[in-house]
Amino acid sequence: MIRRLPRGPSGPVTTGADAFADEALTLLEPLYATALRLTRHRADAEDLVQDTYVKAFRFSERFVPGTNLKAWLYTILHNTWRNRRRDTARDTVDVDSEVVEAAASQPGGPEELDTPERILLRETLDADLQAALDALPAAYREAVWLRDVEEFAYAEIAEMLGVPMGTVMSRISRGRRLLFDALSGGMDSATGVAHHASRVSEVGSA
Amino acid sequence: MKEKCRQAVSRLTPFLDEALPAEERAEVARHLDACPPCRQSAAKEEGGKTVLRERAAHLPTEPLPPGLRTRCAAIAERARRRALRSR
Ligand SMILES: [Zn+2]
Repeated sequence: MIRRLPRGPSGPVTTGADAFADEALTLLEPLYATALRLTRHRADAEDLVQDTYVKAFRFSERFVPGTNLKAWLYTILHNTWRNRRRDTARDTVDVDSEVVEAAASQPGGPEELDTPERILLRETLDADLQAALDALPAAYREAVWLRDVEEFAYAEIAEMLGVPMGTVMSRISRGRRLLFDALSGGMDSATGVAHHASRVSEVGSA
Repeated sequence: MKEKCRQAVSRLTPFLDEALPAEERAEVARHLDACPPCRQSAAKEEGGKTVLRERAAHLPTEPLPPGLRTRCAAIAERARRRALRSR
């Protein structure tokens, strides 16, 4: 699936730096997919990925060989994204605010409580899953994705997102439950929470 | 929310991911047995986790924009030359 770029001639010319570059370039697809998930725009995603590579190669000596290069690159990418947003965004939704936490913790209506996950799995269309993911507040979407799709450890995700482990776990937990609610139909709670949250933050910043 | 419930809910994720030490795991399991609302939360979380894990591979992926690989390879190459020069 992933094509490795041809390596340089072996021998004295090949260095640790070549191996680093080769491996970094094999991770282009998942990095771009992550950038798209964060920015939601192709041009911004492309920009973010290039920035990430520039930084990764500038600071490549800080990478400890033998550790997880993918996690390291993801951390750079997420940091770069956060710094950009800090510079520009004022519409940031505070996803860890009490209101959102409370909304996400509310048990759903009784009608969906007994929905077996197997039925959900069988009946969920790919398009439904994509829509449910898109409707999640960004911080939940990213935490859940990093855990359940990319299968990073909590500590690695904490590093990437720049938040404590406890926050990582609570975002994963709520993200998974919101996803379930959205897919099991009816209350559309993922979008409900997103709207509620942005309303609250507008009030808060007014 | 009761303190017991708060504690259980805060450990649901590592519980479902089988990342809790045995003792804590047993504690959460005992609470879930005794508490329907928390059991319900656990079922939802498990459901969301399962769907995503089993379905994510089917989601369509955007192809890399043309030229991105070449540009990133060029970034790598410039870094390599810089490193050689400074040796
Ligand atoms: Zn409980």
